[in-house]
Amino acid sequence: VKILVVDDSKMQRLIVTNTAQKLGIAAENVREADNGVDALKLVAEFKPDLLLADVTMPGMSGIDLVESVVAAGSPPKIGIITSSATQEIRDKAKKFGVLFVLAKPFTVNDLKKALEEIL
Amino acid sequence: VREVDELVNGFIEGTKKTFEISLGYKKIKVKEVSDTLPDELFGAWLSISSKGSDLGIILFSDPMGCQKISEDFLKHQTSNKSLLPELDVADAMGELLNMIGGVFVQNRDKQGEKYSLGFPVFLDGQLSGIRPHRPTILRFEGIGKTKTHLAVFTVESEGA
Repeated sequence: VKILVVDDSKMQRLIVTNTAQKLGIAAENVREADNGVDALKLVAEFKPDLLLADVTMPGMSGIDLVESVVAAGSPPKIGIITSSATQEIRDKAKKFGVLFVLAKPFTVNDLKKALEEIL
Repeated sequence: VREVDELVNGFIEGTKKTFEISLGYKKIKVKEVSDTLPDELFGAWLSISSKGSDLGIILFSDPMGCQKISEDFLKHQTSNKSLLPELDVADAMGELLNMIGGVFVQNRDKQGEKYSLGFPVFLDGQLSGIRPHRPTILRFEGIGKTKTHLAVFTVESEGA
């Protein structure tokens, strides 16, 4: 399983990456991007099975990223991890087929549970 | 325009929830409330916008306190001390503040009130670009042994 983690916070990327590795995903199968534009390129090159994206990021938002990835066709599974987990964001995420929206702050167990359910 | 005091409880809840979940501190309480910001600020600030008013929040401590909070955040969330060399205090303080604001925004959203988060800005001594209006400064205890504060205020741009 290949995962792409997109968050402008290095700390959050570390937390998500570390949790994915604890679930048995090899380090070389987890890539990171700190913005939506780089993430779009990585989706095309790395071809992740799962995209985990923040929403509020400079430049391209996580929702815009998800919309672009879905529009490009054959999207990976997608999860959103965000402090902005409002109903509006949840509705947009649902529209694009996002499998879960995890609100920050979250426990490591919350994240493990969300990942285990879709991997 | 709503008075900041009406909204402060939402940020107290956000601070307690964020530090309990992200750092494991379960006995956090407000020890002191004041209305004067110190001359030097180390931490991060965040704008939170709505139709009615723009709010700002600042999470601050002394430099050692910021370092300790960041270390505890990483240790608690990863249980992996080997990641500490990757510690980025500015990023960690900004992310914690983002989550405090996020709890506020999510709770207000459930009541039909729309707020949106800006991007956290790290503070390395000076607050520039904004003029806090009528700040409420909350000093917390129970965040390790740090002297950690949260300031809540309405925002006036410096050009205003």
